[in-house]
Amino acid sequence: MNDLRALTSSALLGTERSPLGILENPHLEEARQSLEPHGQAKQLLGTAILAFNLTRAGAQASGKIPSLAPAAADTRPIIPEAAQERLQQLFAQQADLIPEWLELANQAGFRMPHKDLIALLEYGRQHTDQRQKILPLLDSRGRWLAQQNPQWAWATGDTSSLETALETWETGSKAARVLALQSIRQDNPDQARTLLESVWKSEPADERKSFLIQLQIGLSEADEPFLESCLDDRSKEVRSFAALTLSRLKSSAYNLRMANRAKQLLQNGKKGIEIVLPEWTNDLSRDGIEKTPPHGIGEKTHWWQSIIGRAPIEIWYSHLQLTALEILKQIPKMWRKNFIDSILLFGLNGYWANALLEYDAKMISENSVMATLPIDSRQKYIQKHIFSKPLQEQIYWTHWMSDPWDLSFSQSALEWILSSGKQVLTSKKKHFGSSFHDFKVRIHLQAFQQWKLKPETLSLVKQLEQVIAQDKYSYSVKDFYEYLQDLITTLETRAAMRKELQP
Amino acid sequence: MTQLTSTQILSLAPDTSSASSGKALSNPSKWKTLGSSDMAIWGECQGSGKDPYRTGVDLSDYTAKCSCPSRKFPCKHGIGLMLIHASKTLETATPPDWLSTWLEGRQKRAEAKTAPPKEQSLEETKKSEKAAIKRLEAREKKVELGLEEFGLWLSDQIKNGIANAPSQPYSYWETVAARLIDAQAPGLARMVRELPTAASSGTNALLEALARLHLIVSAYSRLETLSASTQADVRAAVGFTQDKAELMQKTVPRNKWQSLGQIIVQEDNLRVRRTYLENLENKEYALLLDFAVGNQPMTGGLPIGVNLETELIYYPSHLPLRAILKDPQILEPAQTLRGITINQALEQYTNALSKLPWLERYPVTLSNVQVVTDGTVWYIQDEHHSLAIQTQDHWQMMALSGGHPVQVFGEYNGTHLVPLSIEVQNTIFMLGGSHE
Repeated sequence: MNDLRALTSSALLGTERSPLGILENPHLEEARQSLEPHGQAKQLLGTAILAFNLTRAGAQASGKIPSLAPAAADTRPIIPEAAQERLQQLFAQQADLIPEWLELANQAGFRMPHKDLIALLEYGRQHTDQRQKILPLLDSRGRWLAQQNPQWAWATGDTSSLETALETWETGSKAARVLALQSIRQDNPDQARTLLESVWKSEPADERKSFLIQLQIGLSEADEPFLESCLDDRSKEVRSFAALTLSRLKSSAYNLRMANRAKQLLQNGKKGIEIVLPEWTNDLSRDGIEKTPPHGIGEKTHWWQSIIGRAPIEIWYSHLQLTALEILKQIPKMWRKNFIDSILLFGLNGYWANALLEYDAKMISENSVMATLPIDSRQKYIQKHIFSKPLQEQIYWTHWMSDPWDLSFSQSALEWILSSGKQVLTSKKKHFGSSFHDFKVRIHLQAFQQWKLKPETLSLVKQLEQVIAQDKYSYSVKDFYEYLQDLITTLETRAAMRKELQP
Repeated sequence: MTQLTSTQILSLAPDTSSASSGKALSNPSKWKTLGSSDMAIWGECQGSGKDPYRTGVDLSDYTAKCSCPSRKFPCKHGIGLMLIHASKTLETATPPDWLSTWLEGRQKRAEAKTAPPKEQSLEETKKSEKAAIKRLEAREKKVELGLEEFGLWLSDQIKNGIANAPSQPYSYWETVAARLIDAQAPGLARMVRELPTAASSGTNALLEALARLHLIVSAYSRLETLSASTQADVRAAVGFTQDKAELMQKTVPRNKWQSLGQIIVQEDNLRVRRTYLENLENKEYALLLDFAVGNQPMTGGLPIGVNLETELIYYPSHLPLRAILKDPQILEPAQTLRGITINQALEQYTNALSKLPWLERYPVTLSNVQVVTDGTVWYIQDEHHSLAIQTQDHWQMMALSGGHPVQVFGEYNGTHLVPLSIEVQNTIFMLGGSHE
């Protein structure tokens, strides 16, 4: 509209320098003329409001823009209302229970209400390990929504049946394909591997690795030829991950090669065990051993450590007539510390961890051993070495345990809480910090149901309440009591979650 | 007795933190006692103090009372209690004494409010009326002088040109706003404080804002020549407040209304809550305004997405919209939004603009619209037209609608719609709107 331009340009420069001239629109011009007696500035302002409002009043609605086809109908039953509210509550203040909730909702075969889809898509965007559980809950509406936002590309695939998963594998985004392969592998491991092999050469290195990781699920001898071929891959990351995976196949050619190499490096000599350092051969690199040592280690020592650490533990008895523990004891003193550090650093699969713990738990940092130890050995270690001691200020080992804890371990943990509670009541220890903070999401519910009805538990709670009611309590008692309450409420919440999510 | 859904209850929360702490207290295990009658629900909740807090909710209008020290209203205990009531049936019991006392007190106060004011002697009435007239005259004089000065300032802007306006410091505008406050014209002062925003968004926006101010100033200068309702609009724009007590004296028929949507915006140190209602018989809109200064909580919220029966008294205006409620009774959750086409909505807006030329926004409900985006801007569109929307909830609207036609209620400001609620297959969802 030319008149608006005339009005604004005159206002910009000021009516003193640039007075308002004749306007095109007869209504505006009429207004301009009638306002002349009020002076130029008021004339402009008065005409301007009319001009702006005429524009507003005359505004035409814009035409349509292209739109997507609407979402297809959902196929699953909606989550019961109580469970929906529960999830809201978890999002607001108890995010650590969300994975368990998702698992339960998934098992029951429900779908999310549409109003909560975005919260779930955003959660999955940040928590990649939860995506497989989220996918089925999204149903048609959620997948339709995800197609429209690149940040939710992982959620566009459908893994609810083999058929749809195969389709996603063929046509989906990278993230959606990883999830599709994962779900195919779970039920049809051979088919998943064959699918992967058929596209292997055309996939970029990044994706080859993400796909290869999925073979960990349901790993078997049948995977060996393919994994072996991956040792010749162009990407270093793919090669070393293939080596790691092969080492988990007990009778693999890879393990045999490592065993043969390792046997050369520890020999029975006249004065006990003798150390022999290896020479470099190019096949070492193929099997995932790095030629260049890290800073501070000689290269031969580094190769020696890498080979010993990767060789299956079972070979030593037939080779040296010694157990791992005996080897640790008899290895020359100047090598011992080095040896221990290295099998922790370069070893795979925790072959040595049990022996190390038995040999001298103090000498090595628990953290590094635990990391390589299989779960059942970790449990045994904690039950033996930690639950036997009084409650400590900090509990640092819960992350060594996978979720959820099994019945017997949960029982020991709860017993340990009981005995700790008694100590808190009698001792004058000052502070227990957040001690058993994350027990609550891990403890087996059945163990809890039994425990909460035990006379010892009831009497401990009663005693704590009495002490607190007397107003003469130490902070440690109050802290302990609060954590105990929190533990109980959370476990009750978890029990309620199960009920709410019954199919 | 009305049963609200948890979403509606959460819309009563004065802020998000009360809403989420309320949710935490919606677990019955956190309550020592719980009970209900036809009139009310109540409970005792152990807080950090020695004695548990006593919380009660009057079910006729969902007003809560609590012995906790929080100044929020309703407090988290009130919200928690209502949420429990929404999800499970509480045991019926006789209300405890503390609750009955409160309920009776409320009843009495409500009766006192509707009772005619205490009779004053003729002399007293005359005296107080005289004093009031005197005060008003003094204020009008002050406003008149202030507006004359402000009118000159406006003219000077245009005489000298507004090219430099975007680079003016904040104090440049603030001085003018402060003078208007001194002149007891807070409505204009508020509009002046928005000028820097207009200046930064372009010459057009700034000139329009200045021209709007000019229109109000010149209308005020010839106030007596205008119709009574337009006079009221001009006075409201300048910042004269309407005496609420006087409005409350009026009696209008009780009608059925639906609460449509709500938005809270921050204006300097003030939070303003706009709540929209629709008359279920004649489809007229009404707006309730509530204010809170600083961190003070909002009070007296109405649940959104419900039907209610109430006397609703409009503030005098050529375009009646702002209103107050007298004795609202919540009836039941509402299920639908009844809208019009985009073209009709624009016509409605034009019509409103012709009655109130400085109109900033107007409520509108649209039927059978699809939520769409071109990758940058989001729209709703019906069979023929599209309308730009401004909200942080566009993905939520997409999720709820699934690309199917829905009903949307919101505020239209002449360029885009700020959606405040959406109806999908007989269920209404609140939207967060967008802070302007």
